[in-house]
Amino acid sequence: MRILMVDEEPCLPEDGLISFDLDRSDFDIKTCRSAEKALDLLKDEEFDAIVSEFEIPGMNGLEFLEEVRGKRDIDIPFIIFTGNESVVVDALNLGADRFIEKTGSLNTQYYLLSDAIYKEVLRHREENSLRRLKDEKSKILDSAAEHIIYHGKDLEVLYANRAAADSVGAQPEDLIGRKCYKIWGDEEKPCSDCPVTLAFEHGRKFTREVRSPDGRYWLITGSPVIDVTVGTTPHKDYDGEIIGTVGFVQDITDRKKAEEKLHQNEQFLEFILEAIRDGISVLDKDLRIQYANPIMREWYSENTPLEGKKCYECYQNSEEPCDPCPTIRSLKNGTVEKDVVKGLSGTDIEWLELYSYPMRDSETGEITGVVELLTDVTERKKMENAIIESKERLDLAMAVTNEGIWDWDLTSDKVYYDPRYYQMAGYDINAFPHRLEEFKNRVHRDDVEKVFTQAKKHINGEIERFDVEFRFKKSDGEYMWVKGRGRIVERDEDGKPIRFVGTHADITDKKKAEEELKKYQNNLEELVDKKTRELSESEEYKRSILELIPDIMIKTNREGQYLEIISKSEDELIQPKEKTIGKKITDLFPEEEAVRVMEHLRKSIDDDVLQKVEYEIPIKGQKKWFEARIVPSGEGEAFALIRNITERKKTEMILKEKNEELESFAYSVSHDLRAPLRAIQGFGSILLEDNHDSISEDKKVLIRRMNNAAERMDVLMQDLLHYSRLSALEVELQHCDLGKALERVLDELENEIDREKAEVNIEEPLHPVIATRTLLNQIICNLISNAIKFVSDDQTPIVTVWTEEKDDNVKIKVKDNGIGIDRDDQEMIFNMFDRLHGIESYKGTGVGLAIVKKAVDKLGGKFGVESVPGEGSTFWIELKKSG
Amino acid sequence: MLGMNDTTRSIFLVDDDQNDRMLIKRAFEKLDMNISVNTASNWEEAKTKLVEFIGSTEEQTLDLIILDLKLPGKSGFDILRWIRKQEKIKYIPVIILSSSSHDKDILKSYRLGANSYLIKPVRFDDLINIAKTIKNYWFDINKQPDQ
Repeated sequence: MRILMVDEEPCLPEDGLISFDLDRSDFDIKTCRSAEKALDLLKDEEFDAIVSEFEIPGMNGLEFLEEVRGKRDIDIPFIIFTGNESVVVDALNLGADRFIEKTGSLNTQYYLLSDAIYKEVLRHREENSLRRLKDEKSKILDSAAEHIIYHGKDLEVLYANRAAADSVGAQPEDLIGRKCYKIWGDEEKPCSDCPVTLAFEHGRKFTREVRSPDGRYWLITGSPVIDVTVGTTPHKDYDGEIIGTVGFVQDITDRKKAEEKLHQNEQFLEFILEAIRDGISVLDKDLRIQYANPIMREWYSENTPLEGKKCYECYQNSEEPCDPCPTIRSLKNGTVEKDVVKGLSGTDIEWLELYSYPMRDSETGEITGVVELLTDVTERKKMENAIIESKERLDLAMAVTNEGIWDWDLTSDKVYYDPRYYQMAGYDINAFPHRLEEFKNRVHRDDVEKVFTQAKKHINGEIERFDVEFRFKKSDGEYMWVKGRGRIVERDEDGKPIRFVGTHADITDKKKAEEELKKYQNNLEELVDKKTRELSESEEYKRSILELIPDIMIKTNREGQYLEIISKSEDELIQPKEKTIGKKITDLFPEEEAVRVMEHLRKSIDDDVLQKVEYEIPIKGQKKWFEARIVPSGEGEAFALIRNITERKKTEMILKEKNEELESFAYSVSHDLRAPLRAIQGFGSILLEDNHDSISEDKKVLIRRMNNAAERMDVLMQDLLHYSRLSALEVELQHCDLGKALERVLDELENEIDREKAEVNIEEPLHPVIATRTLLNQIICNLISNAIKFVSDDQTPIVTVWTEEKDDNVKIKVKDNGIGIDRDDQEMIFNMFDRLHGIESYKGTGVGLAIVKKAVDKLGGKFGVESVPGEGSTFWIELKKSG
Repeated sequence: MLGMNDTTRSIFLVDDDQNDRMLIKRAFEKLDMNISVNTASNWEEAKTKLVEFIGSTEEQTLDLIILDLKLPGKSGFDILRWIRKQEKIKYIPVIILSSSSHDKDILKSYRLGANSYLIKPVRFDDLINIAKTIKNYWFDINKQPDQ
């Protein structure tokens, strides 16, 4: 402790001034003889206390004290140490901390002084630190964003922090003493339910949320302040007396808004999950269903409730997990996986696309389960199949007309090329010599190896059939695609092949079709990849099911005004989201499309029904097709899920083109190819007739054979034509009287029945069915015609037709006494050209049953055959019953 | 020359296929010595011959016209449409004899005023039967306005 001592004759003990209370305490004493000198020292140095005599030269002790306290504002302890006891009152009044009289022995005097100094300095230090602490506390409270108000017993403000004062535009000290309800409540009495009042009354904490007129939310907490030193008040549930309450007011507007938004989002999500026509289910990592949306519950209604059961039990009716399963892969690898899986048996949904998205714990990253998204892709799948099918048919039709023949002598490498071989590549007949290298030179460089490797393999007996596609140079130097097929037809005595014969078919068009198909498939795959990528990249995808939905979601009112849009990207919006909100459908859509969409929108809202509408709009200069599913959502508003169906539309278009192409091809085939047949047949007949007597019997046989061949070829062409037409035919279901249909068919088959002396029995009653008349006639005609045809030579065909009712369906059965079909062959017979019997013994082209299959498919029916070889067959078709 | 004297029946056939022309002509002429078949292979030839017939002052008849549909250049439909606009020949029965069994073609033929639509048979025997039926109906039973 540094002490400044002012005395004319400072008289200190030899060993200085020592505190007797504390051993470690010592004093560092600076002495000076006058107040003037002391004041100088105080300017430069710091002291912990001042000790001053009253009687000193110049300025006396009291004047010095006045100077220190009043003018200099020095706050350290000031002790008057004097023999003049008359100044004691003045000294204390002027701010001296102690007065010590110089009386008694020096030892006594200094003992008292040192004790006083020691105590005063400590007290002073303590006071200082307390004051500082108080200042800091107030600063902390002032910096808080919350309002903190300390109320007294009568709700008067004892303390208010800066934030509380700011809220009413005042200074904290202005609020002191005023009633809180007059400041914040603008009322004359305490507000009801005020947590501050309640806390005061009940002695515990109360909280309450309030909304101020400016729309902000506040959380008010009232806590009682209890003076525990004042004893117990028995009728209250606290100890001590309540001396006030602290009000704590938090602005929770942001939190409230976030909560509201969250709630809205949750509702929205719930709504989407209810409205969406895709199936969504959430599985835990043991494949147990945690959640299934309404569509899933609808699809798998027989197994509801789904929650808690294993997915394969509910969705596949299986005891074991499926293999392969994208969900299991997804769980294992943490990747997004997809497969196309079998749909629901007994419904229109034949194929489902299953996406599996892994869910991860947001902290540990561990996979906790999978979200499954199931989309009905039956239509797409059917379309893909239809494309493949129509392509195959085109191939087949072309194969009938477009083959060149080659005949390779393996011993000499001479190759005979027939005229068609030259012509199909644009060469004149025999334009190049009959040598193997002529062929080789015309095969595209990149294909030579492939072609000859295949040929070699066949020659060596490694492969059963030579069948290869390659490019072949035409006369104009361009390349055409050729399908080469062939086989060894002759061997020498050692079994070594010596003759290799085959055909060339022009498959350029087929290749084109294939490329187109491939392009389409690639597009699809790209789309899927893109979607998968987008999802994997998104951080949020783990948690948000919303993200899984590919659709754009839009909320509009009845006027078609956009109220809300949820879309993962802006790519499929006409304008950016913020520009679209508030606009109307009629502002953005082309007029015609707008009218149509609006019609559906209004209908959905007015009649409270789901509406589906497809429309085409330009997005960033490109025409795109969309499908909107509109559901009403509350007062005069609708909610639409919008899906881009451009790909599907494209596919439909390709399919249509393909069918038209096939149709026109078949048409020209029928026209152009039948003409020469007529000529062959006609002139053959005339030849026979005109030279009846001059021509020898065996030559007549040859001419007849030629005529028969031409006829058979004609039947084949017609069947082909029928078959290809079927696919283009619009199916219009109607009530069909089977009796009338049979009448017409028997009429048509009259000649055939007479020729074969067949017996056709019809068993009444014949139940009416729902079908298309032309198709039904075609089916029955083919079945009866077949029944007549496939009978052994020595037997009279007996055909029986009857119907059987089964639930809502009618089975039409046609039984024959023919040769029957092996079980193994039964599957095959419906496929085109799979004729099981040699041409010589039985008539027919083999297209007949293929036509039946196609027609029944078109009608949405079923077909089949029951047969025992040697005992005949019963072909049946099943169609919907007509009431 | 198109049209013959009144004891014979005259048919005018338009078909681009030489074989078909021969076969059809033969089917009719073999059937009845009094039937004569004149032919044309395309629109130009058919029109020239029909115009000549229309302009002729001689006592000629034309009893039946048989048209194929698919011809090089203008089609059988075009000829039919033209015939139905010519005052002198617009009531002459026109039979379409085509290899097309397409509904579209059949419908269009009748819409343009064809009297009958037949499909070319492959068997020559069937063609003779058709010729017989045509003769029976159009020449023996049916009554047309005098030209």
